[in-house]
Amino acid sequence: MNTTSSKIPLWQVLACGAAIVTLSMGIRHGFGLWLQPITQAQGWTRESFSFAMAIQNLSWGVFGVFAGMVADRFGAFKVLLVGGVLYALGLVGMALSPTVWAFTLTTGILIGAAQAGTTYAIVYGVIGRNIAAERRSWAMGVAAAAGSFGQFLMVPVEGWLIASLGWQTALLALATAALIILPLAVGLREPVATPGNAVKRDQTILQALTEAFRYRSFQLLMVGYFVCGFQVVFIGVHMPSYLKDQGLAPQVASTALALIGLFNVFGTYAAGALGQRLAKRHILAAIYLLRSIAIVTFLSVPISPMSVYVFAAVMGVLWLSTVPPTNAVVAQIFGLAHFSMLGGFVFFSHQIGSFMGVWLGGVLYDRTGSYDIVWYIAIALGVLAALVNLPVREQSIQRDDLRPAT
Amino acid sequence: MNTHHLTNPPPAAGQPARTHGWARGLSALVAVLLLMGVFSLYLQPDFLLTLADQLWACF
Repeated sequence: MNTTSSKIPLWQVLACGAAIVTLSMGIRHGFGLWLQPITQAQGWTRESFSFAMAIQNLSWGVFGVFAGMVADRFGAFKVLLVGGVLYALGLVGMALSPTVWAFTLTTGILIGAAQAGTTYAIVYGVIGRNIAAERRSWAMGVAAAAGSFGQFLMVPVEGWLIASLGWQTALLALATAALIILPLAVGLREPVATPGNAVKRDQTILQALTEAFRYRSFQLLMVGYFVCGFQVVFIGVHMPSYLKDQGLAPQVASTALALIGLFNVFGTYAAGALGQRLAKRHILAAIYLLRSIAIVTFLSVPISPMSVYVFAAVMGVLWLSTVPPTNAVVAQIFGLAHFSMLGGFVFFSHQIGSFMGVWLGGVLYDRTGSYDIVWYIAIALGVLAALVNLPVREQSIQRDDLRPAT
Repeated sequence: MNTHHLTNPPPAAGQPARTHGWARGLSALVAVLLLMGVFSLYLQPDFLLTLADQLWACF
């Protein structure tokens, strides 16, 4: 496996990486709060706003692959700089766009690309290259927990900004906050590679991609991450409607959101830390299986605010806890030379799952009048993801044998 | 098998563990207090209503 000697101090990697992910994941997480003010002020439909958000998610997934390639080749620092600038420009555009198409271009494509350049795959590349393998999963857990904290923190902060400054100025304030990513990126600037400390690049991008996509364990990880996206986004987007259908007050759903955010921080950290002592495939299998068990239990017991809160807390623990072990396994298997790019591809699979979770949730609800079928699909997919993660081989790939037995 | 506590990741080979127990405990306490503080923001009645209105797209 390709390894490097430590070049940036551990505390610096963690502090700057965590702060960047806190900002990049957090800012975007509260965008739903702008739906009403923007659509009312501009006279646009909800569909226009939602379309831009859908484009943003796809843009994040697609650009993630390319951002990863560039980060692997030229360093994460430059990608983070561009990502921070794009984030600020996208937010300014979100505030000032006069038409739906300009809004889609800035809020959808620009901010999606900015997220690709400032979130996990890029920061994890720096962690991988600068933190020893013995602590890597833990460090990834710290960064993921920071992202989870950002999501948890920024929703009320953005609500306060809108109430205090108005929706437009609040976005400009966030654009300024996004620029903080630039000085933080300096903390992740890696020294110019020398023969003694550079990550070995024995493969071209094409060779690395061919190797990964032909490797069974990589395929299985992508399947698992697809399921993660499907479940998380289906529950996140459609659960409020489900709870409303069940006759519960909207405040129950709000509290559930807060509980998911709170327990998500603990879950992501714990998953990363556990990855140092347990097989990551077992952690991933357990997470997906527990999600299915949680959903089955939630659907089986009489629904009440308390059952919703318990479900939200359990799902919170399991929410983004897949992120550190999945990425750590990719680094373990393929090394670090093309890690951000491969992480980008795995994340792309996650985003396709996210899209399917939102879309199928809506389509099947419209056709059947309930979410039952989608819940059953989410349960079945959880079991499937648990099973496909079990045979994942975590050992470093043997490149002398280009067709390893998987 | 590694037996370190969750908040005590194993030191890298050749690197001594520099973090003291009390510092880790203090860090954990600060983190929990911070999380509780943010959680309390969610439970403010006005904000809860705003969130409830917008919830479908907040995730």
